[in-house]
Amino acid sequence: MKTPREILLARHRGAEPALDAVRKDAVKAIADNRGVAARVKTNPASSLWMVCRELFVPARGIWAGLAVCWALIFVLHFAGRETPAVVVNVSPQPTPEMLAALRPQQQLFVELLSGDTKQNDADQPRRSRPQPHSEIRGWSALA
Amino acid sequence: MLGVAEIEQLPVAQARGGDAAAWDTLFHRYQLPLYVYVFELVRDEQTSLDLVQEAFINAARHLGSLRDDTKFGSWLFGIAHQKCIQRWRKQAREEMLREEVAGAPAELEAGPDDLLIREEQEAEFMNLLNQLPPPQRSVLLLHFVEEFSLEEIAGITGVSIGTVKSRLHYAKKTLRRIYENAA
Repeated sequence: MKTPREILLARHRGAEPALDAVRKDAVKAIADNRGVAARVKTNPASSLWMVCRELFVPARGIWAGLAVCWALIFVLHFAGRETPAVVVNVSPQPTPEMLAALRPQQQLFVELLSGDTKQNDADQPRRSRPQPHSEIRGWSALA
Repeated sequence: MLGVAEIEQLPVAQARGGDAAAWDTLFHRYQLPLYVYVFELVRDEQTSLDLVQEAFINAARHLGSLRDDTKFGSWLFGIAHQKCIQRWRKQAREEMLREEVAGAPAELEAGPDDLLIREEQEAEFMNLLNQLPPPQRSVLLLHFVEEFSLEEIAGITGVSIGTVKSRLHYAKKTLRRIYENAA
């Protein structure tokens, strides 16, 4: 007489070599993973990479959506704005001939300005001298 | 009633510390019962080996989530059970996981060792076991192979204790036909 456990285990004893191989593979994978984890801990660049991965990979859909939104915002922003034509006003360098031709004109301009100043004095309204009031005169006479 | 795993001292704490030898000991202890459980559910040798390996790797990866070291066995079987469920879902056989509607009995009539089977009845026992619906087969295997408690089986299979009692009751009732036929 056997218990169900004994019957069940006995029926599958033949699988033990395959199970041993599975177990060894699993233990090896665990040992390898621990080695990788230890290496990552000592390397700051790898740690940074791991942090970035943990931050971005789980919510990569959300991050991609945000990136698309921002790209759309930039496209709409720059597409709706008129780009102003940049006019570059470059004045040519005056030549000695031009300076010589301009000198009499400059002289004339100075003369005109000085003449204009005199004219301005003439154009100013004349102010009559203040005359003493008759009452004031009278009071002073009384005094 | 103590389960098989609960009377043993297992190096779970050492495994937490990354001791490969401790993992080897743990896996060696559970490899055959776990394989029996998985094989009797999926009925394919290679798939069972793959699932056992996946369960081992997942256990190593998520050992931090195990709060009570003495529950390592039921926790490992829970991982394997989830793997089986995922495999069933892949094969679109969810309809086989139907729930029983009958009420659960108040107490189980017998422990796992109370059902003793004669050598000439072993084939019939296995045949009947394979005819059980997967939910009943699952709880019966957990009950027989590792003698898990009702609470542990409920935790492994993700159902209530009442459902476990019900499944176990009907599974045992089916198996008792062995004796009825033999009598």
